[in-house]
Amino acid sequence: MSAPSAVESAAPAVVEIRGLTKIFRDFWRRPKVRAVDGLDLEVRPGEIFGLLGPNGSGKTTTLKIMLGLLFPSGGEVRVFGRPPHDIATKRRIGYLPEESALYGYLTPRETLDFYGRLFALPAAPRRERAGQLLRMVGLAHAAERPVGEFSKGMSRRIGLAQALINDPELVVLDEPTAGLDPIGCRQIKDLMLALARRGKTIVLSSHLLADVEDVCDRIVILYNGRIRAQGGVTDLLEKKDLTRITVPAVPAETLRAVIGMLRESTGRAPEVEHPTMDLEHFFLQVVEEAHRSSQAPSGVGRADGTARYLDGREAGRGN
Amino acid sequence: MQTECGVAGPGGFLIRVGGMARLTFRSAVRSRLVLTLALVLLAVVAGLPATLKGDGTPAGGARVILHYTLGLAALVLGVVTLWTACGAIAEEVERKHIQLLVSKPVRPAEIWLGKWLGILCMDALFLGAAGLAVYAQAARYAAALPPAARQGLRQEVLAARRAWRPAADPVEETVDAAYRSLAARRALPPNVPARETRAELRKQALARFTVVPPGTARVWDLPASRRVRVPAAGTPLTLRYRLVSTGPGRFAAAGVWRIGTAENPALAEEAARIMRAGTHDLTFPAGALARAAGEGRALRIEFRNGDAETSAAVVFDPEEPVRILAPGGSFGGNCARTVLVLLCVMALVAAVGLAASSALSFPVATFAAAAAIAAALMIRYFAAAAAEPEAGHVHRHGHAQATDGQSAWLRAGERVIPALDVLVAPATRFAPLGRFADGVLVSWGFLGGAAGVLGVGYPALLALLSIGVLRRREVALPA
Repeated sequence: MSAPSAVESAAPAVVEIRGLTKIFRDFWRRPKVRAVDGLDLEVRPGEIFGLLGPNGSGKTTTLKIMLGLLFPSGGEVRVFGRPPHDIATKRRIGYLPEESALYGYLTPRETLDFYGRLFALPAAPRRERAGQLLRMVGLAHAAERPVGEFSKGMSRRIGLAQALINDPELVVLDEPTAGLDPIGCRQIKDLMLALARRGKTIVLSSHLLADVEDVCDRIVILYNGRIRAQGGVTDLLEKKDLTRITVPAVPAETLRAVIGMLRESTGRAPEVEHPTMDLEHFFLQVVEEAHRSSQAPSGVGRADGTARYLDGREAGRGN
Repeated sequence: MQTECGVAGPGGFLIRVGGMARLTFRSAVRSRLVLTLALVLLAVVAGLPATLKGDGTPAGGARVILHYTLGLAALVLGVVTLWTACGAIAEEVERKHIQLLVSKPVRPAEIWLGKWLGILCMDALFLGAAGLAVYAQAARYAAALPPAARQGLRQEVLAARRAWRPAADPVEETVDAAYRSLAARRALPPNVPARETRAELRKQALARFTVVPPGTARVWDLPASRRVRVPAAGTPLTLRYRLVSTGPGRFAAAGVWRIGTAENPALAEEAARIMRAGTHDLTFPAGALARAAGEGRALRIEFRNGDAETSAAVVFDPEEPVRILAPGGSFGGNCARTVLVLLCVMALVAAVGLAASSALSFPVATFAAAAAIAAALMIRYFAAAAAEPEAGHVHRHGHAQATDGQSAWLRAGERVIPALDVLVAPATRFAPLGRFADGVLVSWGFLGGAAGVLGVGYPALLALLSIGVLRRREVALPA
């Protein structure tokens, strides 16, 4: 997770939402659904902020209002202190939609070139960034194939790459790991952490709780368009009445002695178990070995770290 | 943190609009639309002249190549343009591409302009190819003719002749004067609305200017023109006249045409026997007449109808009764300007499609845009019908119960339809194919007018409308 200093900074909020309400209406303007209902939240600079909730809880609607794709029925939304549809605001945002709405007839390189043009990037940095991003998402070898031929996971990677073409200050990711294999999920989570380390602010919506838990500094949980819980992930999940001690394997006598001491101190016997590796880590380990011993799969190639310009290693960058 | 790494100002605007235009062009190319269109146009350009025979004369054959081939190619391209434009924004919304677009720092105006320019690039490519193919076919057709026929064809059809027209007849002034005279004499018909009285007077004035009964003559004065070039020796000048009737019945008219100056009205004279209504050409040898034309002197044209025993009354077209055609430029230049005017027409069609596309779904936009274009092409006929005083008789003279509702609609129609006619009339003025196929100059002025009205004026209005809609449209509403 990102550095606490960034999260707790006194800088103005990147996203401020006050009393946001969104009512969808039918053709005759009659109210149909209240998707968001009096939402208040703030996203601070440099944090990874998670919007959680079941399907239909208002996560995506909130993100779309933040991006100017939908208009609020009530309340106020400000991004970088300005209304969401402000052009100067949009220059500072990267967005990965829930469904990768990419042009099937463009190749990945053309896709990135097109979105780079929308940010008015000159030709040379556009080309350079497109190359770096393609390597970053492991699709350099498929740079000249039409995106329409790609699997969902490959499209998702191109979607992520286009969201970063402008080196955004605020990255909005709607279900970023949907459709990705565990390697892709891990890469995206690592990327989010790397971006946050560089001071970027990330807002993500997901219903995959493990993803959110791994990376988010703060979360809100939405249900029927209202906030049901919010706060720092550690604060929300911490069990203050339990303590876990993890040590290397110890001889049986030592373990018995420690258990005896703990029973005496707490009045009940502690649970003792041998921790297991989680399935994600096990899977990544197996695939890593397979990569070393054979060719890369036909779809996604080996990802090449973070794009240099996102790491701040590119000469002549604006920041 | 500041990531203002893009180009600012007009440079950034051009990069964004260029990006949208490239995307639109690529979309057309890669959806196989262009390939299909190329095959259809190839079939039109190669196949049509082989299937249509014209009127059996070299000029008729050449006109088929020029008018029908280029016209059909433009029609096919117009349909494709409308289709592409109607899908350009509507499909972006339906496929959710617009959600990514709108999240980027691109303005609705830039999206609209980029789409429009991308479609125009496709149109320019195909119109250019069709124009070249038609030019090559016409040249091949002429090369296969005997020298004399080829020479005639190059003077009559594969040419760019400047039209020298008389001033328009003062119909409205005549109507005003007659109405004032009746009013002054208190001779206006009682209980008849002024509009109907004026319509009747207009008919009389038109008859006075256009009908030439047997035994009478009509004279037109062509103002001095410095734009008419002195023809080369042996190059004829053409007198073109257009009749809407040679009644009564199948009676033929016979008369004499004279062309000259005020001092010498019969520099050239030619007898004519007219068997049918329509457009007729009379060729006069260049000589004294050509010199007068070249010196920029006013010309006078006179038609003297024969007597009642040998001739019938003739009725000239009120809009373009006579004109002199004199050399005005090269055929190649005329062909290029004609293609550019057609490109301006496509610019308007694309703008109409994009306007519909910004507010409606693809199928509804296509239907609405096609209906709007059809209505615009027919509005002048509706306007003429609405201006007919007979329309009011239904209300005045009977069916009172049944027609009260109708009359309200009629009154609304009488106001709305002429207003719409005024709105779209400038757009219907620029039809270059008739001129081109007749060997009449499509001038730079005509092209400039088409570019201003069809290529900039109307598209700008439609763009403002579309941009207003796009600004207010929520692009991510659930389906």
